[in-house]
Amino acid sequence: MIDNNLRVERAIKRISQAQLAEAIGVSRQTIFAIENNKFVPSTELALKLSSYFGKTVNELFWIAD
Amino acid sequence: MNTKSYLLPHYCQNIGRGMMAIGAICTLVYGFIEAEFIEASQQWAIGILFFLGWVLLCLGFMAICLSQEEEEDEYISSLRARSVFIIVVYVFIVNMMQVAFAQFFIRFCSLETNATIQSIFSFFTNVPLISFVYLAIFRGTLYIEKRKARDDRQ
Repeated sequence: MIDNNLRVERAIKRISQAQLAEAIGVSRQTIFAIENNKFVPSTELALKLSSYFGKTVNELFWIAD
Repeated sequence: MNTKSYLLPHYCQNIGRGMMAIGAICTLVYGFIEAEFIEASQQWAIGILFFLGWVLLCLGFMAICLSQEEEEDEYISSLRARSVFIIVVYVFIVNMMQVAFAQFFIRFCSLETNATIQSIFSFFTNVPLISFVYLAIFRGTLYIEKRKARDDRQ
């Protein structure tokens, strides 16, 4: 299972799901689904997210035990 | 996005809705003008009206089903894929039941009963109904997801 700290990073940046969704070019449902581990994003979207937060993909997403 | 999308552009949904509306009107007119009130020489006209209505209804549904949503992305595509999977399973089950029932009833029931059962099954496998069920599942899931995302707004 892949886990992420998107919610934490978003809270640090103080942006809403809608703002993040708009910046990345996806729907708010997608951000909600990723944060709640209901959906694993594609490599392209993971790279976009990591670049937006200035982190590496590994810092945002990891395989949970 | 590098992955090629085979879906039609979003505006095709409106074209589909228009086609469906015209198709529905044609079908309704066909329903009101009973064949018995038409002279034998005009039967072809009512046949064309029904055919046109049915084709437009099917094409309209197809256009809506195969068009992108306003903000189509990979998550929405995954919801679409899930809905398609459910519909494929539904069609498989109905078809399997149709064959099984046909094989069973053809031996034990009258031809009339068998024809009724066949028509019930063909109703459950017609294109507009399948498209409608698909849209209901897909749009229903999308609505639930949107609501959940709205509730979680922060």
